[in-house]
Amino acid sequence: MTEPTILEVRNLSKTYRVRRSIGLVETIKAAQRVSFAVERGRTLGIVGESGSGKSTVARCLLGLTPLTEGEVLLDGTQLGDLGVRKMRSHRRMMQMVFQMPQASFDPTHTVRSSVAQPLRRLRPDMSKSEQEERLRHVLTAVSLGEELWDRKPAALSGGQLQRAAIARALAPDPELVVLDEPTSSLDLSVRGDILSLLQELQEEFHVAFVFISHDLEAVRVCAHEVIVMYLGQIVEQGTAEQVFGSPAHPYTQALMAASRFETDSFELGPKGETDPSSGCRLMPRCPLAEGACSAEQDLLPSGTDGRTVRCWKVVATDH
Amino acid sequence: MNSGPADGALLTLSGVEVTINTLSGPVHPLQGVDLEVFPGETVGLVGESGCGKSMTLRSILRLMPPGGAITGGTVEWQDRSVLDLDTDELQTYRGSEVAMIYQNPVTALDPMLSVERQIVDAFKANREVLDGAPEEFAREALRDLEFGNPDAILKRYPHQLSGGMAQRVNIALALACGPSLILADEPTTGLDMTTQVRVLDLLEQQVHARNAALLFISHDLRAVARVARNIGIMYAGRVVEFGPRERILTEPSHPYARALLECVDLRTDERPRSIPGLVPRMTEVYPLCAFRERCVSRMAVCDEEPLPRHELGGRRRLLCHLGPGHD
Repeated sequence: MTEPTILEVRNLSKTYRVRRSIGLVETIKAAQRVSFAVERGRTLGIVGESGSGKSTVARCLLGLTPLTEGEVLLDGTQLGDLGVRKMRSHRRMMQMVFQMPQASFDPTHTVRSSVAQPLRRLRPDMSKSEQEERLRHVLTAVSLGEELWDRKPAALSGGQLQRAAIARALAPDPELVVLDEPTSSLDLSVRGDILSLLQELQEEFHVAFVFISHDLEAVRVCAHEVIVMYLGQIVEQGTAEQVFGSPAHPYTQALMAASRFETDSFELGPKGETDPSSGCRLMPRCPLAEGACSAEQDLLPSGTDGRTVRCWKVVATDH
Repeated sequence: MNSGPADGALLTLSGVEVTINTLSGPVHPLQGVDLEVFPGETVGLVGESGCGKSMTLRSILRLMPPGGAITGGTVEWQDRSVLDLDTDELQTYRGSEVAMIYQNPVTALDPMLSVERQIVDAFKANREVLDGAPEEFAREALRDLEFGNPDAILKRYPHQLSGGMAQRVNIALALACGPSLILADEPTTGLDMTTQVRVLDLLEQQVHARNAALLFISHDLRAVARVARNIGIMYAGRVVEFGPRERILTEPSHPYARALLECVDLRTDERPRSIPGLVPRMTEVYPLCAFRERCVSRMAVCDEEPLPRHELGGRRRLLCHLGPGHD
């Protein structure tokens, strides 16, 4: 049974212009022709290191920054075409959970008041009592003890506050929640709790997640589909089993080895001072690089199971 | 219960306690830390936030936060008591004998000074005689840390360095003073994954090339396991289990150590593991086991008797009523 597509991203590109000094403006291609789709009730994982463009993609999805090129369609509606007012009503459909729960709550408000905020703002269609009921529903769903609801954020642990942040995101009944490193600031003894909670909530609320993280283990647990990004480009895209079970792109392989602190299998060269702007972006660090890698690489199907890889060597060995 | 320095140990902590007076009352981050570091070895300490890892390193250097003091136990450096060093001696001890590498590499450097100036200053401050120009030493120090173009890096300021480069400069700075022990506080945590391993390996190689010892702390068991031959697990201000890496990674005895291992190793076919309950707030001293409320092996004795200390030979140590013989 395939679910309807809730989010579709077509050739999303984002270029930032940075003024280095007087008269010298550098353009940074933070995301280049990124395309993917997320089905209702499913999770897409985006992995990559800093500078890979994963946060840029998140910001573009939520309309927090305009796209340079491309389209983002949420439930069939193109976000760029919406005016300010329509965008507000569309906000209900997409919410976000941030990396640092302590920094994403107003310290002077109680947890209850912060979680109620999106309901008041985004659900004017609900009556006061419906809003109150929804508030209780989401706070209970994330298993946040009722004794904590009227406390200030400082009284909660990181894990408890992240539960509250998830409740706040779910409150207006969104179709899509973008989770930006939701477990990275938490202790390992709490990480598993939050990951199981997200899986349970996805069942219950039938919401789609975009799960962004550099923690490959966490993404592996939660995600159905995965994209791996390097310097603004998708280098590998497939199901979680494909990408984690048998990583194909050299960068994915290196990332997996490094995340287990094992480099004997595959190690990249040191990061360069300047990144190439054409050809394979990984070329200067890749132990397999050769002449043909300096040509522009496309994201091509690898094998017959729908996975795509941006490396001609990998694609060539398939055939 | 101070047993004095262990034979041949470079550094011996016995029963170290730290109390910090805060506006909301006293906090007790260290409640009896025992730890030995021998010459030339690498020891890793693992624990979650608030377990006292960083405070342990600070107590070794006697760098206490405002309102904080070492209120119990001893810190022995070779045959001297660190707690009795006077200001001059402490100055020599910090840097020349024990150096520290911090978690945030960019803020650990002085933003106003070039890399060259910072390394040269470190040489001048800690070495009385230099046979050669200090600039040459600085260049050599960077070359050791695998900088391909040391001359260009020497001219840079911290904001012109990436995280990985800045941490390598910090390692060069720590090594510059020729210490016998390097303390590293989560030295690779903020770095990119593919950079982390490289910096970690470089740190270990360079420390060992100088026959120095390394005390490495991290919340990431896998990072610690890569470099440390002996590993201590910290919980609520104590090292609750200590032993060889293989033992700690495969069959730890302490229930907390076992639970932590399960949390690290996420399996897709099982529900992700976690440890229920909360870390104690450390606002009181816990004579009983501080983990017992979260412990799956809790027994009646855990609520009655103070935490026992089992010396299991071969440097293995366990603070748990279960003792070593259980399964």
